[in-house]
Amino acid sequence: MTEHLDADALADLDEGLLDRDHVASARAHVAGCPRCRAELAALTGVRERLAAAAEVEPMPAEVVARLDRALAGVAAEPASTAVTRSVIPLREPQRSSPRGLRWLQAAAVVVLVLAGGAVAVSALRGSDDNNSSASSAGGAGAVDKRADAAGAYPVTASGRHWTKTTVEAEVPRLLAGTLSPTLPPSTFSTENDTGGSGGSGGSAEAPRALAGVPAARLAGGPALADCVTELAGGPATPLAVDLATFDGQPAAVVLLPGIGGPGRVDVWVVPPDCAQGNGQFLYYANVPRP
Amino acid sequence: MTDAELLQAHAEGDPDAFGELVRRHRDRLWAVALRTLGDREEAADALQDALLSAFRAGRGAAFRGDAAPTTWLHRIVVNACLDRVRRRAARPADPLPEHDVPARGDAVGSRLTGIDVEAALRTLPVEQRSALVLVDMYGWSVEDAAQVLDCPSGTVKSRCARGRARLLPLLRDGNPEPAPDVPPQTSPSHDARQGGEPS
Repeated sequence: MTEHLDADALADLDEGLLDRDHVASARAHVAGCPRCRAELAALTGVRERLAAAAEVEPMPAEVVARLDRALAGVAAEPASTAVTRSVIPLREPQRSSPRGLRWLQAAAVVVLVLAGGAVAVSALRGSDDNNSSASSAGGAGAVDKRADAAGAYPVTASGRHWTKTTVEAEVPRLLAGTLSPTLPPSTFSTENDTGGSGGSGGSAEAPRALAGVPAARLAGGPALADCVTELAGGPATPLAVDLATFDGQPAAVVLLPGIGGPGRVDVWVVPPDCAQGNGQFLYYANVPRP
Repeated sequence: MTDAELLQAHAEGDPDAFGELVRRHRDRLWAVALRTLGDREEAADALQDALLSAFRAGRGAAFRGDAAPTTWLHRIVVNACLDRVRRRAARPADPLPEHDVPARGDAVGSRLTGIDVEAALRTLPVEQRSALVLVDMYGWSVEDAAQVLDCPSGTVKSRCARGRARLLPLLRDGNPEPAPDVPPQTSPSHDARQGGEPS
C-alpha cells in the first residue's frame, strides 16, 4: 500500500481497529511517509487538546439550588403508596404544589378504579405504617384487585420494535391509542403461564403470535400491577402499556404520569420478569406529554 | 460511607443519602453534561431529568448492582444528554441552539479557554462526541465508557477514532488549515434548511 492513509484509517490504526492485514501495510506505509506520520501525530494532538479542555467551572450555584429543589420535590413524592396517602395523608405534602394535587388526583383515580371497597379498607388499616398491606402476605387479595384495576388502562400489543431513538415519537401514538392492534387486557390475563422458559415462542411474528411473546406474561394479572408499583414507588395507574420489543428484547413499555408535572410522561421499559421485584428496567425516559 | 453504601441507604429510605451522593459527584457530572451538550441551560435540564430518574430508580432497592454508582450516575446523565440531542434532532422546528462554529484563524486566542474545542465537538454526531468527552477528555477507560454508553467496547473505540478523525482539521496543532464546513450532526433540521424552509 503506497497511498496515503486518510484520517479515518489513521485514527483506526491509532485506536487499534484495523485488522491484522491492514495494520501491517498501514504501518509499513506510515513508517516511510512523513506526511502520514505527521497526521498520526496530529491525531495525538487532538486527544491532548480534548484532555486540556476538560476543566470546566464547578456546577454553578443556581444549578445546585435548582437540583436541590427538584430532589426535595421528588423526595416528597409518596415512597409508600398513593392510596394510603390519599385516604389518610399522614405526611401532608410540604407545599400544596400542582404536583401534590396531581398525586392526590391520581390516587383518587386509583381508589375509584379499585373494584370493591376491600382494598381501600385494607389500605386504610395499613396506613399507620409505611408498608402497604398489599405487599404483605395477607394482601394477596388486594394484589388481585389491583390486577382488576389494570383493566382501566389501555394495553396494546403492537409487537413494535422500540428503541431509545423512537421512544419520543411513539409515545404520543401509544397515548392516542393509534398503535395497533389494541387488545383488551383480558386477552392476556390467562397468559401468565405462557412457557416457563422466557425464550420460548418466536416473537418475530408479532403481534399475532403474541401469546408466545414473553412480554405477554406481564400483562393482566397481578404481574404488571406489581411491576408498576415497583416503578412508581407506589400503586399507580399507567396511562398506557405496550407489549413489544426494545432493542430486540421482549419488553413492556409502561407510560406513567411523569415527574415534573402534568405535562410529562415517564416511560419505563421493563423486561418480562419486571414483576419479580428485582427492579430491573431496560430504559427510562421522562418525555413531554403531547 | 462509600458510594455504594449511600445508594443502599437511599434504597432503604435514608432521606439524605442520595443528596450526599450527588454532592460528591455533581461537579464531574456537570462537566460531562456541559461538554456533551455544549450549553449550560441544556446541561442543567439534562442533569435535572437524570438525577430525578436516578433518585426514583434508586429508591425501593431498584438499583442494579451491575455497575459502580458513579458509572451508573454517569450513564443516566449521559443518556439524558443524548436523549435531549436526539429529541431536538427529531424536531426540525426546534433546532439546537445556534452556537459559534469554530472560528477560522481564531484558534490561538480561544485555545486557552477550550471554546474552540467545545465548538469543534459540536460538529460531531452526538455518539462520537459523548465517547470522546468520556474517554479523551475525562480519561475514562474504554471499558468503563462502554458501560456508561451502554454499548460494546469496540463501538466506543470506533466512535472515538471516527470522532478524532473528524476533529483533526478543526483542532490541528500548529498552523490550522481553514476549517471545512463540517455539517452539524442535527441533519434533519440542516437538511430542511438546505431544501428550503417549508414554512
